[in-house]
Amino acid sequence: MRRTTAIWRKRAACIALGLLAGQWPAAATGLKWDATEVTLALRWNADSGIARFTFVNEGPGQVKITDLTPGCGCTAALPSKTTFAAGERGEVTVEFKAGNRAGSFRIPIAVQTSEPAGAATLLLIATIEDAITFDNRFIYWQKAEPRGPRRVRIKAVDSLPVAFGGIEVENPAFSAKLEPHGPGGREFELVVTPPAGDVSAFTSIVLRARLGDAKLERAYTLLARTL
Amino acid sequence: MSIFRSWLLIVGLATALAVADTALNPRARTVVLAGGPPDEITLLAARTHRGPLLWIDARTDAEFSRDHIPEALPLNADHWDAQVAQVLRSWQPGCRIIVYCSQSGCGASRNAADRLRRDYRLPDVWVLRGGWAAWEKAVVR
Repeated sequence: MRRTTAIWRKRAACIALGLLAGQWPAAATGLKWDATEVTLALRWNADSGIARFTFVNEGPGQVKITDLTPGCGCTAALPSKTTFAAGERGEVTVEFKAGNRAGSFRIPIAVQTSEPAGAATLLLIATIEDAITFDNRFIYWQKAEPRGPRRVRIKAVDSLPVAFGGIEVENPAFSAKLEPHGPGGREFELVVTPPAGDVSAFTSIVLRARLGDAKLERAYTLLARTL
Repeated sequence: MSIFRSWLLIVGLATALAVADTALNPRARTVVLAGGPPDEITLLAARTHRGPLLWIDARTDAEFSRDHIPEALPLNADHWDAQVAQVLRSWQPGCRIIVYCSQSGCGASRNAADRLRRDYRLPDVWVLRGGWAAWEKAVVR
């Protein structure tokens, strides 16, 4: 009887230890983030945008944010202050500079705190509207493929006035011209003609556009290659 | 015998807890079973790939200058237009592209891979699981 009780005590102790080991890291973490992933949507003409990651200190003592490291030079991260008492709420503000970027970008922000288990990685998903979209930015002709012209469809976002200022073709063996496509003046086709004959060649094609009423200048690069 | 029974009991309880946890957190279950995003490739799978392969380093220029996977080409958001031209000069149809950044979750490799697929219509573009850290670890071994 005594032996059986002792065995059960050992079993209970093992289970309790196992459960405690499983729970310990969660209990020791002070900052609880409301969301570790935040999405930021920017219009095509926005210079920058701000995302906020909010949290509460759920630990028993104060927590200090010791380091914030964004994964891209295009972002700057700042905490509302550095030390947070137990139960206190706070936030990390992340400024994203759009520059000439367009499309979707995932930027991690590494957070270090005074707690050994307090490291966290926040994720900013920034989506910048494309003022002008291309159905393809790279066209190529395979070996022995007929070297006829190829067309790239170009479209401006709704209600955006757009004017193309010029086309620069780096390699003169290629030629490119822009043609309007459909009504409304917001759709175009870039017609690219490669060099004749079975030669390998490469070129960049830069389209300069003035966008919106403010006529903001933007350059778009496409690439063409014969294999 | 009693130690064996205790061990069996603990394993049984742990299994029951794991099953309960999985049922309560279906999202976590998906991640574990799927083994990460569908466009991720392990270093082992990358190294055993037969056929042309193009490594793309999506880290900063400074990190690339310090060290990189042999024959990798740099491609980061800061110098995208100039660097993507070099990538597309080197690319051939049928070539597999594997993009890496510093470590898992660093974001830059996925951004670059997404742009190569969406804007340049390149097929067979992958992201290296674990990034440069995984490569360094394997080389040190």
